[in-house]
Amino acid sequence: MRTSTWIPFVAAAVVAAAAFAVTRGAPGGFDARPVNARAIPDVEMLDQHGKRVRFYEDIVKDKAVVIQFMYTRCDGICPAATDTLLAARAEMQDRIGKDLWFVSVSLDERDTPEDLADYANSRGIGEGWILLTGATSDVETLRRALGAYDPDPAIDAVRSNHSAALVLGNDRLDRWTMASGLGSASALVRSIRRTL
Amino acid sequence: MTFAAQTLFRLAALCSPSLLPLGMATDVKPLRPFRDPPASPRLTPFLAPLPMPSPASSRGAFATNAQVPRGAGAPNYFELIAEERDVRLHPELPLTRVWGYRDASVPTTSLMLGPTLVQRADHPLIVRYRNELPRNHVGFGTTDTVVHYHGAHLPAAYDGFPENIPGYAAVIASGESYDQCLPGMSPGAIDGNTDNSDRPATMWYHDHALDFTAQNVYRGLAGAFVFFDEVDTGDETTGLRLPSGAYDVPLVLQDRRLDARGQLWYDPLDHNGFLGDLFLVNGAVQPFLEARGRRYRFRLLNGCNARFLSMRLRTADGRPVPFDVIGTEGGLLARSMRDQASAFMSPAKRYDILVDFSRFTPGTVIFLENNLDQPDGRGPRGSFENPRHKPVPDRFLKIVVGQPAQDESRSPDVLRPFSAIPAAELAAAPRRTLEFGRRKCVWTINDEAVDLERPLFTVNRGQGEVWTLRNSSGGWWHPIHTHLEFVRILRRNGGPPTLFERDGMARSDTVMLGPNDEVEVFVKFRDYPGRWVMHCHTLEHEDAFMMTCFDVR
Repeated sequence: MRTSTWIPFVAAAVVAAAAFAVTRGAPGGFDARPVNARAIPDVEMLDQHGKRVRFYEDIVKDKAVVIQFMYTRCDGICPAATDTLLAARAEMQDRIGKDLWFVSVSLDERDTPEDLADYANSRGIGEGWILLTGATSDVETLRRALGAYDPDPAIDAVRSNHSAALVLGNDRLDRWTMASGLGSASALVRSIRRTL
Repeated sequence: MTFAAQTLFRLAALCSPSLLPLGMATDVKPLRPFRDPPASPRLTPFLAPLPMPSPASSRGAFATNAQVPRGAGAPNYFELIAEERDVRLHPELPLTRVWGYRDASVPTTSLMLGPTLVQRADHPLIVRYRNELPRNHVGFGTTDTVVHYHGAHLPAAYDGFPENIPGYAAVIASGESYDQCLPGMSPGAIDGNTDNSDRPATMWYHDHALDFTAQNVYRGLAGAFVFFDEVDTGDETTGLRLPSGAYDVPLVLQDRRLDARGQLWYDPLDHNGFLGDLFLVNGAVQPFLEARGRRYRFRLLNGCNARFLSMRLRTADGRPVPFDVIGTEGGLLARSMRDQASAFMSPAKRYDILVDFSRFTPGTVIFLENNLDQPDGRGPRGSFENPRHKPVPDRFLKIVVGQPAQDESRSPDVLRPFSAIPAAELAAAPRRTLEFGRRKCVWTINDEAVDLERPLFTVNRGQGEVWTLRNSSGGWWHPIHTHLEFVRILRRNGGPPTLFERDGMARSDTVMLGPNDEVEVFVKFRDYPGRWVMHCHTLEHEDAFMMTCFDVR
């Protein structure tokens, strides 16, 4: 290989490493970490118990997760997707809260930890299921980063248009895919098992 | 969602700019993915010769539990291994770690693309698929894999069903193997109503693991698959006398994106459709071909995840080089389409073309290039009838014309004639509508998400049906691939389809649906009962649940 051909590589690596350091706010080389450590914003949020958590470090890191976007006032698809998750959860009691976590991220910053706790209680959401609320800008960052968006700004601007995409991830294996909140619980369980 | 709510949603959707005929209004800037993908390293094009994946070589018979249908000829046996390997995609790149298929009869291979499978009509292939992908793999993709023979007519157990459900167990983990039988018999053969005009020409094989097909195919699990019979013989001195041997060249077209270390870059969190910025033919970035001054058969295969292509040939000084189209993914056309300027292909589509280089003086340089204007994974700008092109094309392959060579081949007018489905049969056929939609950021088919344990519908074996494939998903394109049988395209947006896809001229296994397109097809499932999938072949859409299944009984 000619030396000159390496120059763009090195330049790109430097830029990428700098971008990495900025977005993650942590030291680390370009090569050292899996893709999702760079890709998943480590935004600060509140869980249903009012505890401050960081989305990557506390919620995703080293775990398998099913991430849902919802809001407690939703009368559209959120309740149906939550029902699907509840049914899936019932089939995965052995894993949930151990190496698998369900995560509901509110799209509505009016949702307080108390609102989330009430929602959890009213829906029978128990252990192993984390509900999160945060600043709109952080949630938007997260939603975009996790791929739950529509490239058409008119569609994307409608809050209820984001509630059917379920993001399945296994941080340890760096394995990510998407499932549908419109589908059956058993199909979802099979998808989760493939990702675990 | 209640019916009234659905209606309201649809009305609202109809009013939104996304359902204008050309998709989003042109002055609306689409939302970009969260992470702008890195630009791949800059590379000097056309340094390395075009790789020619060798045909998988037959090995001795082995004991197998794969069932060979009665009436089939002598089988050939292959062993196909999926493995991780380091390959050089371009001379200026370091080694890139990929997944690929290997012919078990060779110890190693330096290509990303798998060996070319070759089948002769009525001679079954028994393929032993061995999964040797690394255990404890970390990164995008899954090592639980299954091989799908795209375009082949074969029993459901051997089609590569994407998920293991009761009755289907073709998805295997690392360390396991699975035997598949590809009978190679024409549709109708099982019942003695053989239609020998319904035969494939250029197929491919690739991974089909549910939720992870895009990631696995992108890692490299794909190869070409060619089919011969007494008409299309693979010998230019017999049958139709199409160019053969070294002059019959599969050109698998793919795009990739590499990070600064020369490794495959992919964002498994983005589901809109991956677009690469490096253009590969047969697993090499922008190779060259030293062609002889004679006629060639090129088998163009769009192996990209989400990139549509409009392929053309141009001399270095910009003169168009027309070619004869002799086939599509549905096999040879009824008759040759002479002097075509371009081939418009969605992912998974194939075009077989003949190009005569004897017209050019030795030293002439010709580029195989794509000039389709596609800004993102939703598809190209424009419509199916009028796709938009960009001024500066992406070059895939440089062809340098050399000295003339002996040429016994022909470019015949008549190829594989067959009749269009008679009006009476169409009139008697049950009708069905399949609507490819999008709701709440997820794909739907007839408003449902896929569950491969629950077929959307059942069709009777031997009973032809007319399906309306409707794209109501806004400004997105979807190439719809139906397994098991080729479909006949009857109408497109209310009018006659183009000759490339019109019944009586062509068959299809992947139907391109532009934004708001409506395409009417005829399909008849003949031999093999069981469960089958149909899905969008933009692989990221497929993985994000744009799939459904049906039973043939």
